[in-house]
Amino acid sequence: MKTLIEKIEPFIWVLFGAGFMVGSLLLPAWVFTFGIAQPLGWVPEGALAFERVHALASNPIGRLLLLALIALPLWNAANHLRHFSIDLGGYERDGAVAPLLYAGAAVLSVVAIVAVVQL
Amino acid sequence: MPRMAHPQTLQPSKPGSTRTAAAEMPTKFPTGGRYLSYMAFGATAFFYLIVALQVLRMVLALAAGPEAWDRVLVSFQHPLYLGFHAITLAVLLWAGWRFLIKLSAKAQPKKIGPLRPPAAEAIPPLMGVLWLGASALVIIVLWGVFP
Repeated sequence: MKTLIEKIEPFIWVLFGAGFMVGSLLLPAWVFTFGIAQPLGWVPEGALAFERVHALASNPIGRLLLLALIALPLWNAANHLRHFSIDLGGYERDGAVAPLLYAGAAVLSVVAIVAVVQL
Repeated sequence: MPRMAHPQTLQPSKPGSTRTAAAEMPTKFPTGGRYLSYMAFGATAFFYLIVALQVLRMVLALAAGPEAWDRVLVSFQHPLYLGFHAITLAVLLWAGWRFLIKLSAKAQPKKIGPLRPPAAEAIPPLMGVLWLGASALVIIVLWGVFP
């Protein structure tokens, strides 16, 4: 398993970089809009109504953006958490931590693809 | 592929002919000196994970229909959620600042294919403009200004 992870590590670092880039650029405005402005009533009436958001999300660009907004930050988090774990506890437990995190990111990425396709 | 620094990496694979000091953790690790911001940056991954799962929850709700979507929006009005999102926003802004503005200039290769990356001093303002532009675009679209 460790050899396999070492082989795919360059690919994981690409996903990590892409995830950090997408997450840094887009998620703050997303969290501000849905997590702060919407509950406080700052967003204009109807802007986040189901019909409008569904129409935005279900067009091809919307689907692609949503998939990127879910899957890439998941890989960013998985790789960063793996190295956070190595920093705190060394490589002894990495044999269990790395497969768990990467498998979780892979499974959730598949769930995200299915969810986005179903829109 | 470089790995994260760890005392074990300093340990020779077999004992050498010269004496070496035993590997040991730096005394300030993990919360003293510069280690604090380094470890805090690592911990921001928890927030990226939670927000990604939250976006997934929202997409699943959109796929399920208007009632599920409204339930998600109503749940965000809970004070605990509001507080969590305020903390999350602060964390994402700090991590974004560190990644896009502080680290990206240092992380550029000498060449990207046949091209050279922009001068190191030009990258932070370029990334700042890109960040502001992307954030403005998300807000303009989600707030119904466009389309």
